[in-house]
Amino acid sequence: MRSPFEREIADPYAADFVDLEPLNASASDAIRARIDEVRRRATEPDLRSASVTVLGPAGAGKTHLFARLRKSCGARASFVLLRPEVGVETSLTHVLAAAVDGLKRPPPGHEDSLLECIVGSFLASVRGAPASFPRAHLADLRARGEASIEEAVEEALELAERRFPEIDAEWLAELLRVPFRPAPARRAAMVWLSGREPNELDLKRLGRTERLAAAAVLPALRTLGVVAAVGAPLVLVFDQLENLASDDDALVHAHARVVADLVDGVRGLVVVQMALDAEWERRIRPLLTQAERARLEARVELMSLPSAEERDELLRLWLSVLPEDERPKPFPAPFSEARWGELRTRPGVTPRAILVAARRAMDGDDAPSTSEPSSDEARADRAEELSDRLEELWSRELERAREVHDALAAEGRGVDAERLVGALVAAASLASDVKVDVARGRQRHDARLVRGGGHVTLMLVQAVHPRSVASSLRHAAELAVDRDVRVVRQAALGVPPTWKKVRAQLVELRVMPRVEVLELTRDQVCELLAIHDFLAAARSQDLAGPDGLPIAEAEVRAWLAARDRSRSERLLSPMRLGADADEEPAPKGAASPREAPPPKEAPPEASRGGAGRAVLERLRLASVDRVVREAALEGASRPSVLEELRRDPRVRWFGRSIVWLSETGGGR
Amino acid sequence: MTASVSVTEVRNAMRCPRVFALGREGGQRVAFPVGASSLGSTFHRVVEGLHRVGAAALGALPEGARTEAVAAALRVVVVDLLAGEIEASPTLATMPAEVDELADALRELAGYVARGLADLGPGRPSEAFEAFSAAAELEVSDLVDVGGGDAVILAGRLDALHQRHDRVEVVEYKLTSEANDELDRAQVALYRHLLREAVELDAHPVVLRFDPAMRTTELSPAEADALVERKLLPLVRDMAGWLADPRSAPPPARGDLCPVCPVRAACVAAYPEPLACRDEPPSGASRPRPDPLGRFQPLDLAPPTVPTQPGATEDDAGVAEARELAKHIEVAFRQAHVAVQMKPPTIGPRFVTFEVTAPRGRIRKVDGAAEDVEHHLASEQGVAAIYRRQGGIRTFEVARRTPRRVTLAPLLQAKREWLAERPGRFVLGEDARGRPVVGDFGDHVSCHMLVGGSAGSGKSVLLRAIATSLVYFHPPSSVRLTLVDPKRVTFGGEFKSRIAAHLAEPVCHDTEATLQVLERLVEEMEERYALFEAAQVEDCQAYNEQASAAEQLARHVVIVDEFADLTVDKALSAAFFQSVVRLGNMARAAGIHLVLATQRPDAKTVPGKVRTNLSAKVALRVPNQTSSRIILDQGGAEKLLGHGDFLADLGHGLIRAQGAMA
Repeated sequence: MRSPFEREIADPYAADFVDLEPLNASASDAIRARIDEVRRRATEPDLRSASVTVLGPAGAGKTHLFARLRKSCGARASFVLLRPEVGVETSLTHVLAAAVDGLKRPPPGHEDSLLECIVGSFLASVRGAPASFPRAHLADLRARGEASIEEAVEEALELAERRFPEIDAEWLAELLRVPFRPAPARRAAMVWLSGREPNELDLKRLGRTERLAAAAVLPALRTLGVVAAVGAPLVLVFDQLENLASDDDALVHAHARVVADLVDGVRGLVVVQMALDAEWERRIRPLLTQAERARLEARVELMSLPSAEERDELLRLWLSVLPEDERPKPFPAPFSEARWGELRTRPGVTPRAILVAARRAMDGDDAPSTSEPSSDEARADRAEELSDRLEELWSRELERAREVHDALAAEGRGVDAERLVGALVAAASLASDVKVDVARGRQRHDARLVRGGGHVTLMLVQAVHPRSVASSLRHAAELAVDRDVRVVRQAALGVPPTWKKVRAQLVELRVMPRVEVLELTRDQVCELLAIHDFLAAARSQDLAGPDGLPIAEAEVRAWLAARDRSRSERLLSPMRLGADADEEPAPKGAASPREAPPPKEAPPEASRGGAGRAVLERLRLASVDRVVREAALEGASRPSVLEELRRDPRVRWFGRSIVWLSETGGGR
Repeated sequence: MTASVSVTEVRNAMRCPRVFALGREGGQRVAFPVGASSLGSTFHRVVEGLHRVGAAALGALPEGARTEAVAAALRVVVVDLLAGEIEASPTLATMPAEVDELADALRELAGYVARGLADLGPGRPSEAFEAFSAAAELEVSDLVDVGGGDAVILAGRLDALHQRHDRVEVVEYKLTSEANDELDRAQVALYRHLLREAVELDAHPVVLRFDPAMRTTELSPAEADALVERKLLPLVRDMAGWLADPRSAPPPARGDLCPVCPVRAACVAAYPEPLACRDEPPSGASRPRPDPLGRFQPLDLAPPTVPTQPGATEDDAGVAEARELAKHIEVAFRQAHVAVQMKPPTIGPRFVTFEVTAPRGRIRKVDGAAEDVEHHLASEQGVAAIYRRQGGIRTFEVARRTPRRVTLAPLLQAKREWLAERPGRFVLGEDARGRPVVGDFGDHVSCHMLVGGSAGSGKSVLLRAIATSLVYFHPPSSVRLTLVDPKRVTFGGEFKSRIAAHLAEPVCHDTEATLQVLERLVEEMEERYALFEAAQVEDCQAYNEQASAAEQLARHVVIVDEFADLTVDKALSAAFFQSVVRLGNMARAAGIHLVLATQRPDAKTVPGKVRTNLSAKVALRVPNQTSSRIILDQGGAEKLLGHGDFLADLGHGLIRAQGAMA
């Protein structure tokens, strides 16, 4: 087992961790009881969903609770963790996508995915076989051949429709066939089931022409709820809900609407909400209406802090995991008796605070942390220590973002538009003179970047089907008649040569005076995601400082803004207006306020920070062919890369084939 | 005066004692172009520069700086040093692929050094660098007793000494493949020996090989010492003897080195016994670097007159088989009461052709008996002979029982002057009369090529021969290749490593990526036309004649092994055919050429617009006459024998030949 002192933030999907079960047993039992209740009533017509809200201070173990329940329930429950996107309304589409993504994971201690467990249990229950052996049932069906599989699926559909008329039979049929499909078709089916838009090839594989309709999202969730209830009820855990609190009340209400829809309109779910108690009480609860409160706070569980005995037990458990030769002895080593005496009895001490204090003690720093340093020198030391700590945490966050990006890229997908918008909102919140307003409703992947009195419309085009991309680009062209539009697309998604129509549209857009087409490179996307998650963690007080106490959000923001001001500026600058920003959008049909649009020959911001430049920033010296080739992975064309390199004064050319990013200036 | 030998000479003598002896005799520094990068010296100069300026470059980094930050700073240093090298030696700019590899190798080295600094423990990176990089390009020497009271000076210049936390390492940097592993180990073991003897330093021998990814080979001190004692010092003693009597130097154990030997001509003249020469150079053979004007000196291939064995002809088996067949044909005619005379046969790699004349009778009698002779040969001897009437000439063409393997090296050698004259020329194989079949992409009748042949027909081998012959006499600045290999077997492994320097990009395996490659080529073509317009020239060759070496444009040849995959999907095929048509129409003058191969030459895969634009056609064995017509506009390819037997139309009529093995 990994040393518990290595990571003070619990990993929700960890399979092996130290757990003191009596601690917060009441919250665990409450959730487990609801899961059991759903399983018991799975086939009954009065099956309902349940909701539990868990509140507690930072470091009390909310995420740990998720990991504990997930581990203890194993294949008997499907846990899905959802975290709100900053500045973006929670939606049922987002929930469905997260739920279907969650089904791809295997439950702890199992090799097969949750999806196989769910489908296997459901098919078994329909045929009167024991639902607790889903994999055996699937293996049996596979062995009996395609006809048997079809027969079982048809039988299950008929029964499900009879028992729960509100389900979506088409969605269910697709879900039940997934385990029997070959890998490429299975991946395609999961994309369709998640409500995302499959690409052309995946649609062909499924024999479909359209993505799941928006109106079918709630029926799909209803279907998933009742199907999962038989074997592994779906437990939707909304974590870090304190991030809903903002200047915009609409985010809280949107979340409340989603939870209400789930609790009232979907059967067989267990909805768990987790938030910091103080933030919930102060900034979320007052905004809720009576009706919303009735659903969101049907049952509230408060996380308790460990008693003195529980603290003893916790420390013993953590130390017991260490190898014998590394384990400090005797107890309460690594603490002195006096220090531990103080720590075990001091009120308000969370498990995370004890963990961090123990780690510091093992590093030879057993002194209690003082709240305020006394001298200037001590203050400077503390600031430096804090900065180092933030640097370390930031590196981890960036690494995680890269993993997410690369995993999606490997599946041929980009980051969901909503997530990217949330990331842009977070990045804009670091800049003093910019903010990003997100559109509401179905256009929530569109946003307005506001600066002073002017604004530009951001259109995030993350679709992977040419039809949708073409539609978005058409919309952008219409908008660009009377306002500035920035079409933003992740470069990794690219625009394949076969998308002739889209390419033609892009060519047209590029020559329109009020449109910029911006391609976000891998580095930019990862950085945006990392900023989002870093700030969300800061709001949730999940970033522990060197003293084990949560780092204040303001301090994190200040550090991030100071460290990354230029970087954030660069991330956002292509999307902004120039100094001559228009004041208000002109009325539709009116001429552009700019008499003469900026000539396209001027080096655009985008091209200065474009794909070719990014490649050369990384390599510093390379052949032109290599730069073109690597930039092409981000969707850039050869002429655009060459143009970009030729215009950059820092690029030095050797002949026609080698370029060097020189600090002292270029030339040919 | 005490004689001296260098560690490099010991390396050479390990390969071939005669190379060492002849090199000494001729006063020339001899190096085998095997497995070595032509940028090795540049690499060493950059590394030496890093040793000089590394500490200063790390001066700004604080104590405890992260390894990644140190590596990043060192990467900047090495890349900037490399830029300095390119500036000082502009011909490097004509070798972009090799420079890319060199830069990758240097970035790897920077990471290695950064990890080495971290290994020394906490401290300022600049101070750690000074400690770590203890020495570079250090000269060491020692006397070696060679018996009889004599000694030779063994001298060398080691690459670097690295201080690790628990030991000192003597390091050799090698920008080479594993081909030289044995020699590299020997070299670093000798340096350890010299250090121990000369300065009493017990250094741990390490070879850092960059290919361009870094691989470390460590020798244990015991292993190194054993190697020196048992093999290297005795060799040094032998070398002292060869210095005194160069003719006593024995031939090399590896005959495959002879084709790339830099002193081969002198060797043939100096040593009486023949060499056990093989046809092809070893796989690691590489080209030397271009001269300061960007010109390239082709490899000094073996003169064609050197026999493999005294008195042996090139194709003994073929001669014997032809003699036997001639007898059978004569007997069969005699049985038909027709007197014929057989001319000396033409022995090709797959066929023996016998010309038959009727000196005293009428040729109509010969024609009348030919069918009976064919039948007799088939039924009695099991030989499938084909009687042909070509004007006044009558021949029997008989497939050989054991075909002769056609290898590329002799064909390259035979056409070396023609091939080296201009980039874009290539070899396909050998015709029935033993003549090389060659083509020229610069020729408007063969500027793009269509190759068709079913599985097992020898298509992949033929494509490899084309690629190899294209690059063999020309530097990467003159010929660039883009290879598309959806099956992942045609252009892999050893072949890829041999032509790596000429690759414009990594071998492409993906259909979508292939389309992007073609799109980029269309863009490159347009870019080139813009250059031609500005320079007021008509084509690539004219442009290169007036451009400086660094500005010249390479011929860019795209070889797609299986393009049928690109034509399956309607959307893909439309884009693909559009690119082919655009390139087919205009790319010849721009110096961009397509070679498209398929094993399914049907009307859907190879539509008319593709056939029209790919003027050169090569058909290997295909399943039916329709396929043959699709490629060649006539039948015949369905009757080919497979395994490299092909019909080619390179704009000068149809010829049958056997593809060369590369």
